[in-house]
Amino acid sequence: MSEAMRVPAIPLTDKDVLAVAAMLDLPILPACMPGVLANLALLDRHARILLAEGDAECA
Amino acid sequence: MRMTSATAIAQAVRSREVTAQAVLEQCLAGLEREGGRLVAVTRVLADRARRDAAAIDAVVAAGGDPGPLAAVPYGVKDLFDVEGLPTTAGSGLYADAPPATADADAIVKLRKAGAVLVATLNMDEFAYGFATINAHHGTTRNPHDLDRLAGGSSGGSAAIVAAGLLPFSLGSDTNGSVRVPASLTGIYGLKPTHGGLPMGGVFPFAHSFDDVGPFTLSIQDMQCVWSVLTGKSFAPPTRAPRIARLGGRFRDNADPEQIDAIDAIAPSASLVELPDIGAARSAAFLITASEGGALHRAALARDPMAFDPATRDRLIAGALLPPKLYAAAQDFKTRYRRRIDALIADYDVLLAPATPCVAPPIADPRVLIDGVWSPARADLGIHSQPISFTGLPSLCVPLHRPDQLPIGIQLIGKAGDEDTLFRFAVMLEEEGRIGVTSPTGLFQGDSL
Repeated sequence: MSEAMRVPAIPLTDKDVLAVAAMLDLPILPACMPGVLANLALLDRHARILLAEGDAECA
Repeated sequence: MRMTSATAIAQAVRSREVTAQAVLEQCLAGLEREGGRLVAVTRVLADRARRDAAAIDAVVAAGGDPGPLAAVPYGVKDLFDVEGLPTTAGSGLYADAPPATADADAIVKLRKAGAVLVATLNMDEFAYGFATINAHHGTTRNPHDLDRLAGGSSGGSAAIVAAGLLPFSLGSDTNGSVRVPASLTGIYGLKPTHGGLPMGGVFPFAHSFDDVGPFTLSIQDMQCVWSVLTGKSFAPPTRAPRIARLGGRFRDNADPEQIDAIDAIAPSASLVELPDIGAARSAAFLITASEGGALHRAALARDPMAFDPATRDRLIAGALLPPKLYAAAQDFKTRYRRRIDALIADYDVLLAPATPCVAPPIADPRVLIDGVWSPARADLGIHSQPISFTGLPSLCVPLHRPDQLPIGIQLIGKAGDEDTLFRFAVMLEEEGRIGVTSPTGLFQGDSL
């Protein structure tokens, strides 16, 4: 099984962000949501690079 | 009067050519006259500094030696504990925090060596950025062109030294926050071997990579400050350093003059490609976001609107990352460091660009990475972040190029071997390949 399959997905929608944030007792104000989503999208791109190259390294 | 040499100031005070109080008053006058234009200073500590300067003069008058940094004025990034002041980390959130009960460890060491703390300096809020765009204090300006960024996150610490208003300062470097502003303002900046300088009393950002780092205008001053902070003396060289040039992405995203300078310094040196450099930077990005988010999670829940909006949204995103992703990034880091140690075992100094370009305009703070324009705040550290990931020491040195905007290169060494980097930099300085160029226009005058 690849790293990509074992690591849970980064929340990338309003609904998923609010669900994960609720589990952390972290309220997300509406004013913050666009910036948070943009930053999560950037982090998701980095996660894909890490997991893809990390898998290649282990292959 | 420009404050350009810490060692010259100390020598003049120790030999009674000038008093500590006279040095300090000249320094304070310069900060008052020129500091505001740079947006580099957050607090001037005049009362404390005058007490310290008077005490140094008393020691000299009694025939004593105040130390190797006698009466040398300096400043610290606004995340070092200063006794009696709140440690704000560049945020309005902590403007009214309880005052620190003691100085940070690095400040204690510098004070024992005679240095005089005169100011706290601007930064990206919580050190999260490469631009020193601070919603609370303003954007720090580059003394070589006031319409351009000074870099960050230790931008205030770099700009004030580059302007000749202080001879040295302390910043912190997590992913490049000393090396990036050192490159853009044309001065020396050190990221030590991870854990190599005292972090006690420094507001953290991402503990996996956080380090204290000095800024100076010469290698001689860097060695002096390093010696005071570490208590180490310099070992004689055992052989000529073995040099390599970093290739691949480092050369793909660089100013042509950086590549020319590196090739001129070591024309026959091996070209080494660090493996998986993209993954290393991405892992550093994820670890930093996750640790920063975790650190500030409680405050983000309590008072999110008190944060700089750009910092807040980055920190919230980091707090939402899956813990298993953080663990995967840390696991990759452990394996990566073993691979890099083996890869560079045959070399003592690796040469690489420090930033991909000169200082971007404040009106358009973007950088070109792999042919795509991206925010300077996030991506100016493209060449410093992968080196932080290795934990190796990296000294940013300014290329000698008068009449142009400054830019620097990194001298990267083996863990714990900063001495070799300093010696190599002295040689480059003597050859005229590197060196500080004073800003033209605003910040000129006699030097002390």
